[in-house]
Amino acid sequence: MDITKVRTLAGLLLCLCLAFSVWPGLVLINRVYPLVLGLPFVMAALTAIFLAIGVVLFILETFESRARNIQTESTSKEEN
Amino acid sequence: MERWHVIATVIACYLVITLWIGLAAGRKSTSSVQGFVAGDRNFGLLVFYFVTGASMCSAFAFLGGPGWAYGRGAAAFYILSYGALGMVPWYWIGPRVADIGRNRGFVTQAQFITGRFPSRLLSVLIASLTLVAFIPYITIQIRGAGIVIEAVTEGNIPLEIGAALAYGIVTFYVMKSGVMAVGWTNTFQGVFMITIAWILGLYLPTHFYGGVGQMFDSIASARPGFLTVPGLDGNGEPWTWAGYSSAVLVSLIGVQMWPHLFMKAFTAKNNDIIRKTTILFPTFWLFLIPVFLIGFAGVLFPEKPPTSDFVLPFMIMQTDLPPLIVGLFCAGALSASMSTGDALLHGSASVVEEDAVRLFVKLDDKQAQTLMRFLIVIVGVASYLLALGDHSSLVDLLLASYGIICQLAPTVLAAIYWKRATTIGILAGLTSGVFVTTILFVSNQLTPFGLHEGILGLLTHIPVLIIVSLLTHPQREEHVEGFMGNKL
Repeated sequence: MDITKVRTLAGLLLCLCLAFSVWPGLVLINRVYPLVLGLPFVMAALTAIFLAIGVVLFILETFESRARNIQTESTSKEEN
Repeated sequence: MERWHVIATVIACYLVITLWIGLAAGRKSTSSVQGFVAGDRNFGLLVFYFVTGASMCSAFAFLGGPGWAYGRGAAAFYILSYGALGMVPWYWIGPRVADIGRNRGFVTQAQFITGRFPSRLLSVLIASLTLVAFIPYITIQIRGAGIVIEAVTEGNIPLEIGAALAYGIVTFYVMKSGVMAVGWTNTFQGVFMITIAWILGLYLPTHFYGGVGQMFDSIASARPGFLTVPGLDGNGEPWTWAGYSSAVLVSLIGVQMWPHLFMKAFTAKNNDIIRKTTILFPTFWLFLIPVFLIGFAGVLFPEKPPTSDFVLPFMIMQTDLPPLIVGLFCAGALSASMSTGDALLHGSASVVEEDAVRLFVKLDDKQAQTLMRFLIVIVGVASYLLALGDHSSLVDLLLASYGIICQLAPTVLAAIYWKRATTIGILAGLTSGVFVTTILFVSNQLTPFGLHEGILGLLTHIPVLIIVSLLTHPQREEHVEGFMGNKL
């Protein structure tokens, strides 16, 4: 996938994480039941959101590091 | 052997191990200022992960976290949100800051900012703000350590002695070994406090209610509304959505701007380590789940702790756990306090020496280190003396300092992303932001909708920065390029 598309998608997902962490997005997940792994729904959802941030950044970094490697290779070829 | 003797022995063992790690770590760095402040820019992934996580998870998280869950219910969840979200910008900013620091030899946040915006006044202003924010922060860590030791030894080791003992050791190893001691002791303390938190967080709800789910069922039926956001405010009244959401925003903007965390970017061996730490950071933040479970376990308990911050040691003392376990819990709480306290002590001495004194007095490497060691002792002793007094005003001051610290965010972002920013614009923005935050904090009746004063400070800061910068002469192109041109 094109790195620009990956960056845009990651940016959108991270904005979504922020939107659900404050008002008004948080209102949509703000309830106690059903309990998830024994935790109130809102607590479990906020936990899932911050773990999702790590996953989004991990996927972004996979693509970014590939893009950095390609850039480094092309720079060294140009120098040669 | 009495019960408290066993507990005191466990605490003593923990302190001896920490001291040994702190002193041994110092042998790994050179005796230069760069070695003392930035660990020769040689921290690997493991140490960098723990130094970031443990420096953030202070006594506030270990004692204050359960206190918030116990006293304010779902309001505590704002802490869950801001940590991981606050680290996200660091994925982009961290490597860039580290690159510029490596190229230009910066070891502190003010050096980085004044590298782009040269001004002694700005440097001294940042150093002063850092010190104003750090002193109450360190004081609360010291007091946290004293409270825990006093509580678990049933008053046989009073707060003054316990705090002096724990922080005497912290001051000693930071003074001897600099940031290497901070890094390696934080690794040990980080592992320790995460383990203890999970054990207690799962044990207490099971012991008192039969399980985590049963505990939340009981709380939900006894106190409806306690488990949904925004929870309660400090007076036990319902908190506002504006208060909750602005607390999340201010904290996430400010979290990486704390100078003791920001300057750790200069300690990383390479940029990949900063990016990987940011990605892995949510795994560290998971530690807050058991911390909150401990606090919620106390909500329906018939007896009450003296204050909500005391809920953790209070619950421990109510469970008749074996003294060995109580001692280990105490060591976990000390880990949380000391792992932040050491980074703050080291940070404050480095900032005062590098960003204030060194601008006016010429010092060689050896003199600079001697001065930093001296400053570590001065800050440690001053904070200890403050910790012995009434601390209620310090908690207020700490809350205000979050608003002040987040004012550094536009400054840092302008330094690396906005070519047109000027030194005068930065100075005007920063002073106006800090001024508005302070005024609104002092007379908090003026803050609309219960918004955090830091947000209103930023709403003043950013337009002032932009307008004054556009009205003043732009910086030289080649000077600005040095900060913009670094590739990520």
